[in-house]
Amino acid sequence: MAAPESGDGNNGAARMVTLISSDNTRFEVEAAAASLSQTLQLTILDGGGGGGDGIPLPNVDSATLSKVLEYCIKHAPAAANGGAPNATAVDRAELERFDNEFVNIDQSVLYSLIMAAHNLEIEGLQSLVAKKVADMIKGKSPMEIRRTLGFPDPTPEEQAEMNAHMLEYGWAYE
Amino acid sequence: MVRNSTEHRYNDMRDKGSNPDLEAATRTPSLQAEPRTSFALGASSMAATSDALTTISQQEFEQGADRLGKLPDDVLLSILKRLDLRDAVRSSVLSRRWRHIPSVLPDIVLDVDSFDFKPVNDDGFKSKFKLSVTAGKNKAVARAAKSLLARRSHRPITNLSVAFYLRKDSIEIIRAVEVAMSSHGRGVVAANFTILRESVDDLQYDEPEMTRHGNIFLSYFNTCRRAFAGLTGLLVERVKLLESDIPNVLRTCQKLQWLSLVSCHTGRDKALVLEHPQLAELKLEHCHCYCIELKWLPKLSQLTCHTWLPSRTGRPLLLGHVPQLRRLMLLTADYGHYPTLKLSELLVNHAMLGELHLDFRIYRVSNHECIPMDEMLTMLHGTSKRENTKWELSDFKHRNLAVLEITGFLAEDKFMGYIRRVMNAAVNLERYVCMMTGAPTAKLVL
Repeated sequence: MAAPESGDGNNGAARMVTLISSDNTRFEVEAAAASLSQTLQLTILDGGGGGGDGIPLPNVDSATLSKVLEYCIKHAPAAANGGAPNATAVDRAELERFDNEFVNIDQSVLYSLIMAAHNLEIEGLQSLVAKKVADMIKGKSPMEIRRTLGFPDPTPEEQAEMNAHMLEYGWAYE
Repeated sequence: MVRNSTEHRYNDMRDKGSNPDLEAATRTPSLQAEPRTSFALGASSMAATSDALTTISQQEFEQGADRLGKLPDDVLLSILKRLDLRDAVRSSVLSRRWRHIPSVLPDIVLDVDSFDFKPVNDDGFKSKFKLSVTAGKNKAVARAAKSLLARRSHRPITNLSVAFYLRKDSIEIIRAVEVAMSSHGRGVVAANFTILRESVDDLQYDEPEMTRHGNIFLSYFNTCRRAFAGLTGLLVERVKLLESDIPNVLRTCQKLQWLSLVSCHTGRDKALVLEHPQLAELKLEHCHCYCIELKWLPKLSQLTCHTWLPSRTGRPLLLGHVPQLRRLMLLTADYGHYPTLKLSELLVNHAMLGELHLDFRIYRVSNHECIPMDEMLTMLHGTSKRENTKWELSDFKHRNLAVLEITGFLAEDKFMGYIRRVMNAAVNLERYVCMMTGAPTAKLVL
């Protein structure tokens, strides 16, 4: 069956697709939202994911997928408007607020999100999480970054390597 | 919750993470080499359920960090491109897997102005010798360039941009770039130099200093020709060169796509004759360049002469083979006698020209005084009636001119009539700006 468009359905009711997480949880979501994923978009355009089929996502566990979909549902209307050229400042501010809140999460979730955004090719989410990690690194000393990102304290051997590295790139620490 | 219900985890989805560099990094003896599937969420993360979003043990926190440390290069680079070079390099110290970061960064931008230097004693043998701030900053650029550019990796540098001061010791920086471009380095797709004058004072003409600068620039060029041969962009400030030097440099810099000369002196009363196969953008700013002949520049699309001091006699601009020239901006400085530039000729012979900006501005000589032009500006010119009749405006249609901007002249009826005819001829003109100055002595004769 060929779906008309990835966006809203023809008779008011939006087309839904089902995504199945790695731990076999089923998520029903609007096709427009799922289509933010480049990886899923083609399958959905081909009419996949509807009915009882569902699209299996063996790389994404349910906790991560629900988070990813939260993002997609929020961003789908703006994306459908082609990046929302006519979005109001209020809409944009609201999305920004949502984004900031959205990435205010722990490392392990952030990591799962990075990988999910990468594998599902969700451009906006990819840059959002990359920006989050970048912001955690910006302007910090290596020890501060370690603490922020939760890297374990270096072993003496590793410390020696780090020192050599810092000596080599001394200009970056000035 | 079924934990490992799936047998094919990340293997069946594109694994973008695989990359020789990372794999090489994992082969360090003390680190357990891991297969590609290490990028997949481990079993522990599979257990992450919604309650894990809120309560995370220290162990899981560190596992998260550990996994951050193992991100595939593509993802890592998407993070790093949001950092400045220093932050990116600093973060490479965090994890063995990130240690190779400096050698895979696609964009390397080293700008001497972004380096801080507090004048302290130089290290090592010359402990009594104090570096000036500019020398110190330049030295920092040299150290950064050496540490970053000496590495080899399978990823070439996409964009290498280095701004440094015109000092003798900058040769170290240029040598480092040469190494990166050579078979011993990463390879460089696009590289540009911005060679700045050291003093930040005004652009006053100081011939001995400019000659000295010219000699330093030529010594770079003669010592590291291969680096120059690989450049795609070059900006040089405040050097005096002979009229043969620039063509000579251009012959070597075969890849050059843009060239900016700022406050440069390129030979008195001699034409600067330019030929280059790739050059697309040429900018001369505040240059003592009396006549520019664009002899053979098949790719040139844009010429800007800003605060131009053209020839008092003869024609300031000769257009040869410039089939791609679309945008022409001529902004003159206050300069007494202006030569004539036949706009009609320009438009008839260069039908591809899409934008023409002419600014006969009154050059502000000092901050508090605005000296009006005491000579008539005759650059925009159809001068004698005889010549005017050659240009059959009624028959001529210029289809590409979309922008015409003429500023800084005194309105006269004849001129306005002329402009009107140009506008009529330029059938596709989209934007047109014509600003007059109130300077009582400035006139434009057509």
